[in-house]
Amino acid sequence: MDDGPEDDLSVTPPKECAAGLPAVRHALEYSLGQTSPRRTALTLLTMNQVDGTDCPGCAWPDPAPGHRHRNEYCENGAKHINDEATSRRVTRDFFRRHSVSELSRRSDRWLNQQGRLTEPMVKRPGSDHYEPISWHDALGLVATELTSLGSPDEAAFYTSGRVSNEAAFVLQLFARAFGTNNLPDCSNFCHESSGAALHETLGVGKGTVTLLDLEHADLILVVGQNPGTNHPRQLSALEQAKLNGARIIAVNPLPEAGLLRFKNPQKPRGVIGSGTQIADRLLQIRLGGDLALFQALNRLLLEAEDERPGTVLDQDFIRSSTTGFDEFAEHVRATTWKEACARTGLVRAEIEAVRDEVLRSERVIVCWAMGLTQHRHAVPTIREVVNFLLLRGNLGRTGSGACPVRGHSNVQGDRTMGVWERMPDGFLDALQREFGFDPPRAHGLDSVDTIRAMRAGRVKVFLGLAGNFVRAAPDSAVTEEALRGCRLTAHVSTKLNRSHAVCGDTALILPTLGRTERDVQESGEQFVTVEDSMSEVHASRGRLEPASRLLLSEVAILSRLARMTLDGTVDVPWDAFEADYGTLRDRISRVVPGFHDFNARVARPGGFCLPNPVNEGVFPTPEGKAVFTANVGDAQPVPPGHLLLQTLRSHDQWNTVPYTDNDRYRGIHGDRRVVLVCPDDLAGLGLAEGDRIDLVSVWTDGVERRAPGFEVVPYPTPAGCAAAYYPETNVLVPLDSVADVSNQPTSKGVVVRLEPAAP
Amino acid sequence: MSVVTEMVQVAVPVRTAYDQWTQFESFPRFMSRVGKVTQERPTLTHWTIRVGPLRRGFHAEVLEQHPDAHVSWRSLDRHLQHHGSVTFQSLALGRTTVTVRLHLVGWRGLGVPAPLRAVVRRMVRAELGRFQEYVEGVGDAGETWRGTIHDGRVLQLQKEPPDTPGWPHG
Repeated sequence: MDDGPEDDLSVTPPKECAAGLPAVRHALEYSLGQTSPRRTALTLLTMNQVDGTDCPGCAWPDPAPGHRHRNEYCENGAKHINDEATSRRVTRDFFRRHSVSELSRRSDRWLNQQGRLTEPMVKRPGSDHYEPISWHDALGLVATELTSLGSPDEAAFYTSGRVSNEAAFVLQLFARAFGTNNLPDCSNFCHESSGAALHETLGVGKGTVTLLDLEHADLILVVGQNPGTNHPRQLSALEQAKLNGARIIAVNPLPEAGLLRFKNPQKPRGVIGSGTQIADRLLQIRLGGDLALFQALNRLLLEAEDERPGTVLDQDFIRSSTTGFDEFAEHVRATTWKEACARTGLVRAEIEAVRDEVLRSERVIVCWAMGLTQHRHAVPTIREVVNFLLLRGNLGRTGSGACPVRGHSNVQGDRTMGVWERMPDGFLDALQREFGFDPPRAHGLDSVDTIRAMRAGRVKVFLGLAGNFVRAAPDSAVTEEALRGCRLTAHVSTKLNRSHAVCGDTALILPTLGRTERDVQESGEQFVTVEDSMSEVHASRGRLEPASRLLLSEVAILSRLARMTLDGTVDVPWDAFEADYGTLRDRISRVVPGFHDFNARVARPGGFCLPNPVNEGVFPTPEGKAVFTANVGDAQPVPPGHLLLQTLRSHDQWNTVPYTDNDRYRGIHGDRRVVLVCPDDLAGLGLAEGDRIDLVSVWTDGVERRAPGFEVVPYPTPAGCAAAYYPETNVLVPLDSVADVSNQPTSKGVVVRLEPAAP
Repeated sequence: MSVVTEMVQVAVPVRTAYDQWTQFESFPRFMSRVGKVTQERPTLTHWTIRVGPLRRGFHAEVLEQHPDAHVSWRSLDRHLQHHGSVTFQSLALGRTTVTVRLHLVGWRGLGVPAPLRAVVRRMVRAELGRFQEYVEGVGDAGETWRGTIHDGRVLQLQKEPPDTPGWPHG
């Protein structure tokens, strides 16, 4: 990339407190750097309000109507929404000046900073520039390519979590009417392991808690999650829980600022006081050590019950509502302390202290994110978390439960709308009844399998609806080669990103409305809907004038594409869907369980909540009960002289898009190509602070995966564990290094060695 | 802690009395102090209470619910704490005794002064009288949820499970 870091690297001590007035300042600085004060005010004051715009950032829920702050957003949400609302524009003149080759050498930050896309663009075979194309011709080109494929399964339709429920439903309907279940989506990279584990053990692949539960828990474990950067509004809920008397235990390899202390900028104690301590205990666990931790904890709880029968475990609940307990108990009793301490990097006393906290607590919640899901043993790990919750009946009661925290606003809703390559027959039958065509039944491809198929030439057309697939995916070199091998890549996007520069023979940029923009169709102004991490479905409306008159909404783009591609072969009213999203919601209400009276219910302030059967005493597993499991698994073995690397976001970043080169919470300024290493490891590796190294990952295929030119920064991370930012380090994650069962890339468990960089 | 106990005899069978009482969202129809009740899930309700011009909202967790026998709850309001129970005792000739036992913890657990306890006692007595008038006038509670809740958890659903997407979410 020829646009380098903003400044030379400087390192300051990591912060021990998140948010506060600096968060407000940074949010406003970034926002006002993108757009006018008027637009900034409009976006921020309507964000996450009833009748306002849903933050396109993370999937943290909003408080009930009437209980929201006037400023109901976090620093990163503010940056994200004004990054979208930017006044900068990318025009046809830009593409004349910058070739695709040149764009492919530009950094993610530079590409993002160029502004909003304004009209459809096409890169034709053999050309190195995008040129303007009309919507009719652009969609006609896609339709022609699709209909000339040898099989519908030679196409893949990717969704990212910004996509609304309506657009997601239209996309999967189109794909299935076209004849394929190839529906990769960004959750394949994020919480697929959670869905797999929860579905198997509880019968529901979603979290079971609401904001109210968090506020009334006695104990909250925040495991493998960094709310200060990735879900900052969660800190408000944790602060409220603390004020209500809850204890919080954080389990994380890094002492993240948001786990230590929170200065709520909307409260006096956060502005002029010292804020609220978040974690009462921080367990700095080794990467991938969480399965061993929960097994050790579960063993301690069983032993406590042995000592005081009937006082520790919820025997009534275990007897009446679970299965598999005996096998689980026998397995977990056989785990050893030697193994537990080696895998966790913790001492026995630390784990026993957690046990003591648990025994003092009637209601316990476990929150987690990528720190659990992005390891090869992620599914067994999350199953073990469920075992832990089941032991003392911490499911189905207020203030208790499982809380996977999703990091993209509608990633949960997209899956609810049917964006999954393995939808059950019940859903496909409902589609068939409603629309009169036979959806394909053979399972399709998820994201990893789509890359494999593109590489092998079995997928020739890739349509991406939002997101930045090439930078979200692992094994960057393989993914890029796979995309370049396609006949056509087309992306429905708001801003420029690397996915537009790494493209097929023919490539299309299809610019679309952002969440912040008014969406006016034939029947009038429209709204879309989203579903947050706690299964609350609500509306989102934009207020700004669109960035260009030539933008179409995602629903409009997909409806027109479907009409042109399918040419009346299915009886689906694509025109009506485009003209009035209410007609689309009526159809959704008859296909997707729980969405009856969709239009009426979502029009209520705050929308509606999809009930979780677990909270109504129902575990929809084949046995009709919650399932205890016996789990085995470990992180990748790390040879001597190597480290286990986790890829992570900086604080000034949202998903694949860095806003600056700073990570102020971790004390990193001016450069993102850094690797955080435990000081105890430096000597053993013959390295010192400031050394320039290349990161090289190790995998069974013998292929060298190298991320060159990183600077070593000593950091308080457990020995043997390192950290570096993605997407720069996605190149190190082998495509075939995936979690068992879920096929999710192991982005937090990469074996690397540090080699001196070439001079 | 202060305890207020009040009871009323209603001229309806125990099942009718219990079924009507557990339709919590219907309380505003016959209780003058209750502005609105929303049943968010079987074990969780939200109440808006009105006293003169004042309004206060709070969540209440149902801890126990046993058909035709007993309901107990606790408020989740950390400032104005209380918990309570209602028992239903079947009498001869199709009559039922409904007994409310309200434990007042008070503002942040500081207890409730005697004069205020007396006010609460009068309010509870008056509201029970309105419940009696309503349930005897209506005479039939209609279809209602007859599940069992124990220790804050639904034990027996007694109806179809909720209609929700049943596939894994990533």
